[in-house]
Amino acid sequence: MSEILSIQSLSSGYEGMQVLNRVSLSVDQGVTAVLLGANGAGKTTLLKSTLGIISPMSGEVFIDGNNVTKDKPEAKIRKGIAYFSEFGVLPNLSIHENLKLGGFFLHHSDLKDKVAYMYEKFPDLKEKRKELAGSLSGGQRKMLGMARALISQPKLVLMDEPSAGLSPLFVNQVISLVKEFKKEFGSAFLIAEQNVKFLDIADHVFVLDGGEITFTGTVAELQESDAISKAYFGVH
Amino acid sequence: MRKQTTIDLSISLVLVLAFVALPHFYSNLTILFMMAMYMVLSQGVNLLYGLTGYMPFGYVGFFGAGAYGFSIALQHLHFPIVLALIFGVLFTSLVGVILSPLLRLSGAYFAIGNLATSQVIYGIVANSHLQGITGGGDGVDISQYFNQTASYYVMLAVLLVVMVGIIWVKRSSFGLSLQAMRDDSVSVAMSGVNVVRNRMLVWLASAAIAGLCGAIYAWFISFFYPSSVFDVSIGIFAIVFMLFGGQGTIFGPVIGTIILYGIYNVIGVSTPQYFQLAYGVLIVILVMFLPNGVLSLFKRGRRAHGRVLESRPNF
Ligand SMILES: Nc1ncnc2c1ncn2[C@@H]1O[C@H](COP(=O)(O)OP(=O)(O)O)[C@@H](O)[C@H]1O
Ligand SMILES: [Mg+2]
Repeated sequence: MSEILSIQSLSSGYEGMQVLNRVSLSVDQGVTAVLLGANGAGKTTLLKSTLGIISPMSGEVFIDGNNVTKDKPEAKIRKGIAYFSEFGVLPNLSIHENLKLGGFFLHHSDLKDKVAYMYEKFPDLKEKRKELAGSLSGGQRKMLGMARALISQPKLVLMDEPSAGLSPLFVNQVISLVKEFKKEFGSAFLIAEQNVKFLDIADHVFVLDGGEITFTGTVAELQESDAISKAYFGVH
Repeated sequence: MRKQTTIDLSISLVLVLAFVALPHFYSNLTILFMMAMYMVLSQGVNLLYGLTGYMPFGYVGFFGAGAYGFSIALQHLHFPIVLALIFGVLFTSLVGVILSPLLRLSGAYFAIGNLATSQVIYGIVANSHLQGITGGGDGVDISQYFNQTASYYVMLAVLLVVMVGIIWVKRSSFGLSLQAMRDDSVSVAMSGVNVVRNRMLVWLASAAIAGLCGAIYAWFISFFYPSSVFDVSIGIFAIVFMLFGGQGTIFGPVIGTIILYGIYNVIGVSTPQYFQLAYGVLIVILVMFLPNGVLSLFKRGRRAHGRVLESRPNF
């Protein structure tokens, strides 16, 4: 299996403050990888630096073997990467327009099928398709954001805490969606989470602690290690 | 084609055909020309402001640049009319490229910066050192090309093209991305939209529209001073007409121009200074109380009475 995403020795942060210290990880095609880490561990910083929303201080990002470290976020997205985070949806556009925007760079006829597919997955959204996204509840908005990110059937999806602020029901919906996209389209996922429930679907786990990767392996290997207790409870 | 698109295209065609027929019933061709021109100009503003939120208070800078580009091509390069018009548009686009760093400014800073740059262009053109090329303060005389009928119909052709263009933009995913960029450009970029490039395209298209208007205007009047084609109120009128009719809509600028330019001609021409003041006040009132223009009063739709206001999501 070949690598869809490879991050090599990435250091990044904010003005005057380094957050990530030489982070390396890779995700294979069609694999669901979970990036576990407590609040402030640097998960969001890592995803944003991977996409180029934050310019990394050093290190490299490869997608499909190509060095894309310097590419703009929209250029990476056009290469089949999707990003889902709390930024979510455009409240002044209708639900339907939000979805169409998600497929901005798709061919027109292609887009139609893909919108229909997403409506199949989210019947709630279909019902309200003409309403403004701003009128949706928080959970529904999040689902729309997810539908918008997934509509292009990306080969790699970066998700930033999809379960944050969602009811258990929605969390289960997210989990089954991830499984489905993996199966139907062979999409790979890198999911930054605190919620260990996502370990159920993880083929691969990374633990991020204080800006460094402290564990890389399978769920079974994770259970043998003390990386989680260290990361969450500061037991060193 | 969608039904609404067919309707919009039909209305636009009827509008232009009406202007084609009007000179047979109404002899003041200048007023008809100016009305068609303002429709085009306020569509140009609409494209930029209605879709991307940039308010070009110095829009007349492009208008004047187009007028001068056209005239220079006629007088010094001896281009035929059509090529000179194209030259005027290209020249204006070049000015647009040079001024594009303005797009990094936001809100009032952009509006003021744009106003200032239009005065800089005016200053350059009117400068006596450039007398040999621009005519300086003495103005431009291209009266040997004077042809009001031809220039009027060319303006109508431009009106039709611009209307079709606006209709296309409004229903295309490109237009959708522009509208969304206005709300949250980062979120839109996450859908793979090249925000910077799209903004630049709209800016240049809007500049080109003003440049073309300026060029055809120069042809129509065939003698002008720098102060007449760089008159800030030309741009302000276009803005007011667009705001009054309804920003971001297809027919708002048309309705706004018909009503307000109509009123201006009935009672205002003798006292233009009051109108400038009145229109200044009108801008403030419209932006504050009727941000979607008079068309929104007649529309009962989900967007009729303002959009959902909400703070930007923290990306
Ligand atoms: N915009 C910012 N400017 C400065 N520091 C930030 C910014 N965003 C996050 N940080 C800091 O970076 C560290 C990692 O944050 P973050 O990547 O958001 O962690 P996580 O997503 O794992 O909760 C934290 O110490 C946080 O305070
Ligand atoms: Mg975070």
